[in-house]
Amino acid sequence: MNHNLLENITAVEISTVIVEEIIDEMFIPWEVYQGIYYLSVAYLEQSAIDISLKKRYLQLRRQLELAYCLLLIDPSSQLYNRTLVSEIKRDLPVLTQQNSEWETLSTRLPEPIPSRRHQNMSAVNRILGDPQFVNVLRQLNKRKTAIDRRDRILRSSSVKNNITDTTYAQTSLQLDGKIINRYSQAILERSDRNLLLQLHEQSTAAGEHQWRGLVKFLLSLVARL
Amino acid sequence: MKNKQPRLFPITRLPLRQFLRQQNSWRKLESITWELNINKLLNSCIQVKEAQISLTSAIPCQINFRLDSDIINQIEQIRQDDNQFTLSPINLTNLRYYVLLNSPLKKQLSPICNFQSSLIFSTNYLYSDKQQLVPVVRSIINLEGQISQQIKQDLWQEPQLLDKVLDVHYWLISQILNQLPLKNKNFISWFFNGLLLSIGTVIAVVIWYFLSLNYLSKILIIFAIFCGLKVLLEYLVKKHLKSWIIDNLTHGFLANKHQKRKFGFKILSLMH
Repeated sequence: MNHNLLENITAVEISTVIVEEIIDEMFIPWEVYQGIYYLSVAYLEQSAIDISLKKRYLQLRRQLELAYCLLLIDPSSQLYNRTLVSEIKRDLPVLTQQNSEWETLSTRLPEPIPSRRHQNMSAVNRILGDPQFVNVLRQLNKRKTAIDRRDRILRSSSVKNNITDTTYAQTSLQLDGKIINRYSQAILERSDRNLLLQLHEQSTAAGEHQWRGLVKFLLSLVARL
Repeated sequence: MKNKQPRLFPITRLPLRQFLRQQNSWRKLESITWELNINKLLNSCIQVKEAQISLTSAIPCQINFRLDSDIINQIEQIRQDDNQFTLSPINLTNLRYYVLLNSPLKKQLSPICNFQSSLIFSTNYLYSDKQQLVPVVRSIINLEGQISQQIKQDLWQEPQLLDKVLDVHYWLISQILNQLPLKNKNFISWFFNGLLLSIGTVIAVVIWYFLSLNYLSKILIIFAIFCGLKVLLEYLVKKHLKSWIIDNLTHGFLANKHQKRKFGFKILSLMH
């Protein structure tokens, strides 16, 4: 059981954020699904979203489609559909590339709100009941929240170099020994830059310590006799 | 030595040695009371927020530290004196259960039930001019390695308070994490050895009295059976019993009430 415990962990990433308000975020799968499903070039053009972020939103939609197609062709998944395997395999090369014409492919995802009569929510409920798909939604939601925050800041803030609600520093400690520090460009020109960096250093040390403590506890549960 | 009488301390009229011993026990009593008070104070600051998932059971979903300026000063004093604090049994069980529920361990044991979210430790501070507790620092730890530390902007703008609150927040988390791992005080696996001895004795008695062979063969057979039993039990307990208990702790019959969870962890620590 030991090696399974650490299977998905390739790095420990510690991010520091200064937020306007700390709120409890609730994850509702349907809400996230609906938010990403309707993202398209046409929709983004109509909305007031900042131009620099449009591509990032589109990537979310592409990845949702890709994840769903992969689940459709995976025999071990609940959503496996043998009849669609050959079609999907043809479309996969297009879907996996970021700048390809993936939007021209017709979507296989069910609509969040059925538009035709006599259609019910069973297809949507079925995919929202699959744990792997929900996991994908969870991760896409995290990225979408970050992009949404960034969009709010770009549109509303008059103060330059405002770093509220964005991760201004991130340290990644990888299993192979590499340590990668990432900083937001906005902090470079701020007068309180040193204080911010000090705060991040403190939170990295604490974060690493916390993670080690938790792993120690989990190992004590499964340790050998 | 003219005066053979023991020197009497004027106020208490007790011999000096006895008086000092009494003073020592008084000091010990004082320090024990002081420790109990610290424990009580700190345990009352730690709030395990629970979400009701059914009529009868609730699961922990967040850990809050309720602080104000007095408590922070007291905690600073405690840290300076290098005192430790012990989690109360209720808090300890709840915290262990909270971590277990959100850990990757569950994924291995029950692929159907894939609910996993991050651990949230939040410090809620009571400002002197406000009535309600405000979350000012939050650590969100995902057991797949992503950790996010969030700090409220209002706190960031008060550097001195920020330092104090952050120190206390991280110190509380590290104190909690130090006490979480299951420990077996005697380093002997009572559970395992007890099982081995009882089954082994029964089989030994049966062989001794019911098998008609010479003594040497009987002893050899018993020894061989003991070794085989040890290996078999190790395999069974390690692979199956432990995972069965962890499985039940997370979503089986040991998961509903606090007492059952405590019992489950106790058994696991005996098998440690």
